[in-house]
This record gives sequence, structure tokens and C-alpha cells, in this order.
Amino acid sequence: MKKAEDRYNILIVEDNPGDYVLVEDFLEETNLVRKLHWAESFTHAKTQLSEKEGDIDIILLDLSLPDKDGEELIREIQLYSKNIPIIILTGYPDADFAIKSLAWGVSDYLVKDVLNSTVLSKSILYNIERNKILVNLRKSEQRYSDLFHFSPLPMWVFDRETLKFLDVNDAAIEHYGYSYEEFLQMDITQIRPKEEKEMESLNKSLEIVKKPHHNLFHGEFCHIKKNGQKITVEIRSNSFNYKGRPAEIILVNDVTDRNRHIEAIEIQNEKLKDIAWTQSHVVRAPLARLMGLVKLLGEGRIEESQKRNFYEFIQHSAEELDGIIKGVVDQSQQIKINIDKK
Amino acid sequence: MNIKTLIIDDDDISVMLTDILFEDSPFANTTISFSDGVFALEYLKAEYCDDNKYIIILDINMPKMDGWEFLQHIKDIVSPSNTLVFMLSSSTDKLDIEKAATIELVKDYFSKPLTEEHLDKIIECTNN
Repeated sequence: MKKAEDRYNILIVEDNPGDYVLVEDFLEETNLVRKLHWAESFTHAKTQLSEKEGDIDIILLDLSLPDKDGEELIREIQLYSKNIPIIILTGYPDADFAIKSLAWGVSDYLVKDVLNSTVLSKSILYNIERNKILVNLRKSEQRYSDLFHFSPLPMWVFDRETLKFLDVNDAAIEHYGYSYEEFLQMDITQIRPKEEKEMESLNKSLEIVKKPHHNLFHGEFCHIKKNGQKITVEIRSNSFNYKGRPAEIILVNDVTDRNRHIEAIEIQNEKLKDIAWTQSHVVRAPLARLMGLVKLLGEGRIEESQKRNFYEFIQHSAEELDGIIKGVVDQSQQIKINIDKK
Repeated sequence: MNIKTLIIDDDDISVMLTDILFEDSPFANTTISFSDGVFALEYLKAEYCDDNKYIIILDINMPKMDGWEFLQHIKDIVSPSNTLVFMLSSSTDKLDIEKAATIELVKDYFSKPLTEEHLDKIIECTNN
């Protein structure tokens, strides 16, 4: 007896009780069964699959059921079977149809007349294991696709020869304002300004792109959103093969706001430098004068007749200093970082 | 050798204070004051003579021609051997002080107001 974890829950979808018993017998010989379920129609199979979701390891499917058959049966049962592998059991060998059904995602195609427990056992084991690998692969592809589509930064893939957009992520759609469908109708020159200088820089970076295996920071570029707004973006790119096409994946970082902040801070720094210069040259002028005047008075070097003038000079210098300090305060209060949304 | 002391400053009171200090010094009665670099430059162009000794007390921040420009202009007129420039500015800005140190004609940099100690340095420099 095999260990429980090496055996499987199997759903047989078969309207002919004679055929069901035949398959059941073969299965018993294989020692692969943990639990056997039987559905006599498509409707019944549907119910069983919904009820036992995640509890069935493989489906053995007869192709002609009273309520559905052939291609339609395969297509519809897949809506309920999801990732469970399906082995078709049929009375009629039809090579063309067998190949087609494999293309639709069926795992194997067995003819009842030549069925025995060895063939059945091998097919069940092989297809369950292979399916596990396929499911993992699909999950891994999905993870990568999610990384692209749910990236908070705009990303897209374009064809290196036609420059057409091949795929864009949600962030790009939201940021640039074009729908997914609109993007796929466009090429990358359409989000760039038409000015000659801009086209030149685009061509330059495309030259670099032609060399394989680069992972490049291309610097800052100007892009235009659907609403005509110009933005400054940093671009990183990498080449890869997308569905058989030489492609380039692009990561966009909109630095428009950041640049505007830097510009505002630079303007502010200029104003602060002005204030520092004023402090040194202008504020100290009347102060130095006051110091000089008071010192001379203190040393008693000023004649009585001149003293009245000196007091006036002191008064005047103090007023001047007062005015300058008020000016400095005003000037520094005018420094506001203006970041107007253009 | 005649000493000529040029006080170049647009601040009248500052000029007056410098003048008062100079009254009790070897430079008494040798001072001529100018309210701007332009006028002092015109004077030097017209009157400069190799036999005289020139002590120039120079402000930086002036409306028409500032102290730095004035120094540029007189470079070709005067000689460092008989012309000593002392910067006298309200500025305590390091950049101003460092800049002054790079100019050959400039012997020292004083932050206003001019004091007895400054005056002693000027005298010492003049005697050397």
C-alpha cells in the first residue's frame, strides 16, 4: 500500500456505468487512489468541482456526455477545473482532435480500447507532477507580471525596431493619462516633445539601446502627458526579449516636482546670500560709525562745541541701523518657497 | 618725501572719524578725502608722483566704483614701493578679508571703526 500522501483524489466524469467500472478497476490496480469521485454529467461534474474545490488532484473526462460534449465540454469544464490537470478518456481515436485538445490545455488523451492500469497509472502520475511544475511556472510568471503591472513607478516595454509600445503598467496609464489601448496604438516618440533637440536626445539614447546587455541610466528627458502637460523624467532601461521581439523595458521617475523644489531652494539660497552680504556691509556700517563716535566721546577728545553735532550723528546712525534691521526682517519674511503647479 | 593720505569712503562720518584719529599722527594735515573710487582715481591719474608716499585708506562698498575696482585701476599707475593700501570696511565677511590678502598693494584689512591699534599698524608699515 502506498502512503496516503502518494495517492490522489480522482474525479471520473463518465455517463456510461460500464466504462466507469472499467476505469475504477484499472485504478484499483494502480494503488494511486485515495478517494474516487464520480460525476455522470457535465452539470454533476460542475457541482462536484465547486463543492470539492482544491480537493481533487486530477480529472478523467469522457468526451461525450448527455448534456455536453467535444470542444465545448473541454472549454467549459476548464472554467471550473482551474489548475486541475484533465486526462481525456474517449472511445474514438481521433488524432487531430487529440492534438487540438492538448493545445486547449488538456494534459493527456487516452483511448479506452487500449487502456490498462499501467497506461493509466503512468498518465496520472506524469500529468499530476508535470502540472505542478506548470502551475508553479505560471505563478512565477504572474509574480513577474505583477511586479511590472503593480509597480508604483510608470514602466513600459517598447519594440526596439518599431518603437511601438508593447506593454504599459497601471502607473504609466495613470501618470500619462492614456488608456492601455491608446498606448498600444502609439510609439514612444509620441510622448516626447517634437522639438529637434528632444528628438536628437531620443535618437542618441536609442543608439545606446541597440547595444545588447546594458542596464542604463539615460538621464533626464522631457515627456508630454495626454493633457499636454510637460514633465521632466529620469529614465532607466534594460533590453530583453518580449514575446519574440527585441524590446526595451523602461522605468520612469517623474522628477518635475523634485526639480521645482531644488530650483526654489536655490532661489532661496541666493536671497540668503544677499542677506548675509547686507549684514556684513550695510548693517555694520552705521554700527561701526556708532562705535567710532562713542569711543571718541568717551576719550574726551571732542570739544564742547562739537559735542552737539556728535549726538546728532549718533542719533542718525542709530536710526539708520534701525531701518536696516527692519529691512532685513522684511526681506527674510519674503522668502517663501513658491512651487506653483504649472 | 611727501606723504599723501587718501581716505576713500562714501560715508562722511567714517571719513571724519578717520580724520580725527589722524590729527594726532604723523599723517596730520596730509589727508585728502574722496567720496568715491572714481574721484580718487582721477586725482591719482592727474597728480601721482613717484617721489611721494601714498597711504590709501580704502572702503569697499561705494556707489560708483567700489574698492576692488579702484584697486584694479590703480595697478598700472602706482607702484607698491611707495603706495600702501589699507582696506577699511564695515564688512567682517571672510571672503572680503581673503580677497584683500591676494592683492599686492593691500597691506592690511581693518574692520570699521578705525582704532588706535589700526593706526599703529599703518605707522609701522609706513616706516618699514
